[in-house]
Amino acid sequence: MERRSFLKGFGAVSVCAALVPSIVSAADEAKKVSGPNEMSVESALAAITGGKPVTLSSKVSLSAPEIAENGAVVPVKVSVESPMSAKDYVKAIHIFATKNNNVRCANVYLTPANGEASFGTRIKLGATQDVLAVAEMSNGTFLSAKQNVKVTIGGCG
Amino acid sequence: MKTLIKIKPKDYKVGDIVKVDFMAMHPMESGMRKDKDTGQVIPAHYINEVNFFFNDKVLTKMVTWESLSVNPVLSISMKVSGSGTLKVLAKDNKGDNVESSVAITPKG
Amino acid sequence: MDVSRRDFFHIAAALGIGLPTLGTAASTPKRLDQVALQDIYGFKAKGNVTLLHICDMHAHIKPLYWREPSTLISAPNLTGTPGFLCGESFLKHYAMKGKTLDAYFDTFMNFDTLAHKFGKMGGIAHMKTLINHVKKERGADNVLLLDSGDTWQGTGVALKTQGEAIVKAQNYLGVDVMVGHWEFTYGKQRVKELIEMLKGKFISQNIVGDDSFADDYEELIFEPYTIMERGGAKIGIIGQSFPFTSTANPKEFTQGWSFGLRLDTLQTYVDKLRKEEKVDCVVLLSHDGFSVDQEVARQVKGIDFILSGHTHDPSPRPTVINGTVIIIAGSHGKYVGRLDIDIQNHKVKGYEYKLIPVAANLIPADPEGVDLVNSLYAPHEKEFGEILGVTKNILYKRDTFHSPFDELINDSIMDAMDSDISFTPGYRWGTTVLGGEQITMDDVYGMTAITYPNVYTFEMGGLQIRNVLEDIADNVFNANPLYQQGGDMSRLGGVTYDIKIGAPSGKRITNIMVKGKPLDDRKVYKVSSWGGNLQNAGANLNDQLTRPVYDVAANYIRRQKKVDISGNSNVHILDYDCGCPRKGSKSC
Repeated sequence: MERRSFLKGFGAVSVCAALVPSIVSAADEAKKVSGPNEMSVESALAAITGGKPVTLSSKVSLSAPEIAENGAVVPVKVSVESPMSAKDYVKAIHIFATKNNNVRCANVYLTPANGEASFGTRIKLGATQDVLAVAEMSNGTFLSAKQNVKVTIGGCG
Repeated sequence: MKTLIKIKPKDYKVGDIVKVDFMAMHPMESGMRKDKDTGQVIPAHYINEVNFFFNDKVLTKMVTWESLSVNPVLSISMKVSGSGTLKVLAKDNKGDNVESSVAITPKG
Repeated sequence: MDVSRRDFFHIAAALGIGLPTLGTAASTPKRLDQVALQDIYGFKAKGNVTLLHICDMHAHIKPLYWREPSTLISAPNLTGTPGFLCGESFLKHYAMKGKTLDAYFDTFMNFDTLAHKFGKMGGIAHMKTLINHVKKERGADNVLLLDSGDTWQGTGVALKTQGEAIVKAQNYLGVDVMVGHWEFTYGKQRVKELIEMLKGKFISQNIVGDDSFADDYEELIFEPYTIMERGGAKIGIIGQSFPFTSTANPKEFTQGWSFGLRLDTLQTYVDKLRKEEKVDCVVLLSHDGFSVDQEVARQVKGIDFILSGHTHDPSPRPTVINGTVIIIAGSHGKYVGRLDIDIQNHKVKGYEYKLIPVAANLIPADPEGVDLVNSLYAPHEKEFGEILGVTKNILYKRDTFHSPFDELINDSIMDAMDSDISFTPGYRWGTTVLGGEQITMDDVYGMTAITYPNVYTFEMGGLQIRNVLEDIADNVFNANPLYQQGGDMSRLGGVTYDIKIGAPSGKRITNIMVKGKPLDDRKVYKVSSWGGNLQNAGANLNDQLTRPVYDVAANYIRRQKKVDISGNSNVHILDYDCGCPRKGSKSC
């Protein structure tokens, strides 16, 4: 398949100081149409943690742009402080787009062979929202980080 | 499904931690977009599983969803333990799957 | 234009020149001229290196009038802080006196009167004289000229030559290093060509390839930094182009490039310059905007100086945050910032700064620059020089919500397209025409010269219009500078509204009236807009009506002949009772 054809329909709109209509319409659609994998952040978290607490931690670092250049392509990077040894490592990194119809973006199951607990990808955000990263540690605890990403079109100078 | 694996940096030795980028050309349809001409909902079509192996041993497994951007990029780290093959198996929700691999050749 | 003897007294008084000098010089006007000039040049030289800083020239190679805003309001936590100061609050903050040359340059107050007294601002021929003066005083080898960008775009001569005229002007001025924003609206290919022509360097640490299958994926597009030796010191200069270029301007110009603040890599380069390159001084040449750069100084450690741009603020004094000194040099060529740095034992020991007003009537023009400007304008003189009409009142651009020149442009669009609503972008660049003066085609280009000039006319629902306004408001009034984009509110023709700036996102705007009637969320309106692509959000685009905004505006002014714009704002601010509020106050 041709890559260009994929990019069609994601032509983000830029008004000097206005909205991203493609994003707004996507959000409108999301309200009307249930996605096949619709899931809230509460349900998605519960499925992973089994109800265990998730703690915001400086050990998890989440890097995402403050303002998305394009709501359809938002780079997200996560890294977690860990020795990544056989006894003490990060079992998984989960990324959630908290206001998308299906909040789940990726569940990444790591091994000590990764050497470092890091994961990067690019996600779609239907509107301004928090991106949440949850790290599942080998000792059974859950640590997290979040960042608000603004999906807009913006002003200019 | 066209794919690409990049190892960064290009030169590395045993014990180094390298970045592994896996790219795929895929529409990652959410199942919520409507075709502009027909008004019909475009069915969901997205990569839902990506597994990384080094010398056939699991390095990282991923479950992925339609919220990933079109032509997804997935990056992880890998500690170079020796020479061998890094293999990536990717599969989408329509059953299409692809295997790609790259040689790991540490220097020194 | 020569300055009359009477004006010299005003200028001398304004500059605080003592009477004895005036007394002895009164009989010899030329002597007075030199005294006034000396005061502009006057500087307590310090150390071994001088950085001269310019930003946001917007292609104004000729002197112009530029009136600063009379309304400049941000989120309540930022209002009245550097970056959001105007009028009386500006003078108070910087302990300045009114009606002086500096007050004329820095504020809107008494602008019409003072403009007749002090004359035009900027122009490369005058800037060059000033730069030469500093180079002579300091030794050319000890001086760097750094340009924070928004240089290639903003006038007819820039547009007609696709930026080339301005690169020639930069080469003439001797720009050593630059970064960009509007530069990118000439498109990637042209940007590369212009950089080839530029004698100085174009650097940016925050632009990388984002086409995942391309070779340059996540690779730097430009050199992230450059190291220059001046005055025996190694100066590391990191480039930061406008982080939101691809949202503020059409994406197609920079397809395949990703921008962003990229503070993590910025920190990496700062550390690398210090530890590996062993520089003596780290400078960030930035187009982030003044308030964003104050936040950058809070988050990134180890930058000595940030030379900021984008938001067009004149800042007579540096702002110091966590040991990082931030300066910004206004806009449109009105100023050259002079930063003397004392570098000893590989460390910055001290500095001295002055924002020097380029008063075109006081700083003599360099003849070579006059020739250059004339030669660049010559092919377009007939078109640019056309007198379209006369304006009764002053026309200017800058203001948070409304400006008379934008009102005129909206009037011309609504007249031509018969639309209910017209959107004109809240750019911070433009020009000023004094009351009673002629409006030329060059002035119209000065307000509209962009590479995507079309006015589009289409349909939008009332609710959509409301959402658009809220979205714009959140970009302008977000309490976190990192979520702002540095523009002013879009200017609306045919619409009045109330705004509560301190209200939560999405709840700021009320009482929207379209042609005197309340906005109906379910009604479809005929909307015209330019300078973005709001048209893609609308429906039933009327191609027949699509035309460049400069043609639309010029035709309207030609027909009107005499332009009479009230200047009354169409926006009612609910939570502030004046345009230039003081810090922590709702009032001025």
